[in-house]
Amino acid sequence: MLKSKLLIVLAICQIGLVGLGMARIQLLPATTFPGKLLRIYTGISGADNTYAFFAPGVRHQERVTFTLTDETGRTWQDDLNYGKSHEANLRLGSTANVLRGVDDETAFHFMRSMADTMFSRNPQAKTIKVQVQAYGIKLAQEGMQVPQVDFPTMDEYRQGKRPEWIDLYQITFKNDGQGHAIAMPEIVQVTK
Amino acid sequence: MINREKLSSIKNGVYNFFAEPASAKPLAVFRIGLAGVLLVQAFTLAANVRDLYGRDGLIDWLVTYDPANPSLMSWAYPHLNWFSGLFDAIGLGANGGLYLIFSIYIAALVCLLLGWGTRAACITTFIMQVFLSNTSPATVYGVDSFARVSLFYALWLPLGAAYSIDARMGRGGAVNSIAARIGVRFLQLHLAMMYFASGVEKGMGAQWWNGEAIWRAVMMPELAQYDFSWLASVPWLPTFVGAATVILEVAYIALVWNRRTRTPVVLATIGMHLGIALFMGLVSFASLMIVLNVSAFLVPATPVTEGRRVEEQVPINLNAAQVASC
Repeated sequence: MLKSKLLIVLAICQIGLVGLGMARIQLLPATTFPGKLLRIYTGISGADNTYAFFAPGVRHQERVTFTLTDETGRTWQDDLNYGKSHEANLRLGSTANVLRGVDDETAFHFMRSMADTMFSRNPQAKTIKVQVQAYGIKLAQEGMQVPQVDFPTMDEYRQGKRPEWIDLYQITFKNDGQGHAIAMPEIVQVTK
Repeated sequence: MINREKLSSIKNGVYNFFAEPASAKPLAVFRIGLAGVLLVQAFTLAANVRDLYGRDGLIDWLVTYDPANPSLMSWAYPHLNWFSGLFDAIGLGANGGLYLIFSIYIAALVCLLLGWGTRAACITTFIMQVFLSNTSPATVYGVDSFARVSLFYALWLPLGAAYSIDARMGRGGAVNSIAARIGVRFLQLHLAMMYFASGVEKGMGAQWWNGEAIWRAVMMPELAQYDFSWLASVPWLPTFVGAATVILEVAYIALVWNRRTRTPVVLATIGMHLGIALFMGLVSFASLMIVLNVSAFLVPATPVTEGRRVEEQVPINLNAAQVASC
């Protein structure tokens, strides 16, 4: 009986934490030791999920493409759709959407790591241009370094506007001779 | 002021909600469905394990984990890089270690599916899933969140009490128990709250009320399975689907407890997930959500013993231990 009551209390506490996680309410400040322990628990148990799938709206998609060049100057393209299944490609491709949610330094490390992968997939390549693109239409803007893009509304689509892949920013990497990518800052054309 | 009687009545109500004995069959369906979906998913990812989770994968380990700056919070995100030195020391290397971890994950899922050493299989699967998904945070999506939560709950629930090798061998525990009821309630409450939160978040965005969210979702190259550009000419259709999705998700928590409305609302939700699988290609996610809905609300939890329902045989306030032994 005691075990059942204990289980019920724990269940209620867990459901309470799940509810707080959904409402984005922090029970304890994350700067305190108990707060950190709670964050560890909610992180491990998944109680910190907000479940905001496609909410409040669906954003435009981003992708990464690679333009590779060999010693002779020959160029060719590669992309992240090299998975052996739809599920694998979904996951590999989704890394591009992560770039917009991270800071510049982290985005750079992501792109360098992708370039590393491309050098191992294409050992003959000497340089790789990692290009981030967004699918949509360019929005009117002033003084923005990176183009602002959004997917056309149904109304805009009826009026003839069509989405396309628009270059956002890019970094070119060279092969260090051991298959690792080194950024070529002189060829960074648009920074994030 | 709430008087003592009222407080006691609330306490009893909560206790009965959680403690009325239930059959473990819904949890067995949950176990089989969860393990089945994750196994299929694992096989579809097997050929790209190194690309997704490897030290030299698409996003290498040092980008997602910095061993030079360990902190207390890193315990919230266990990472395969923790074992990098160990893998090297025992001669496996990072890739060998990764394949070992992935093989253990698959073996544990097979055991979970069969209900053989169910508790150990749950623990192992959960630990492996936590490490794999945290090692590759850029490649995870909704299905991984639900897999994490489901496997965490699986640690505590009597999943091997029915439809399992453990049950056949007499070590699966009682088929009817309070623990099973707590488990079923856990799943039900979590699902209901999740749909409510998801519906409220969606409802706060204009896109779900004017059809743009549906339009964008089915037109996104990453997800598009068919050419849906014709939807722009019939905007009432995505508007209806978007609004219906929000209303269904928000209303789920209210309608799913009533016997009359439960089946229609759960079937409508399953229909929504079938649509997600069919039109957006998110098959693993949709399958897992269908498993959760079916096991939580459609598989009867009423304990049946020798052809009679337990509540016909025993009073509702029967001692837990007595009921468990029914």
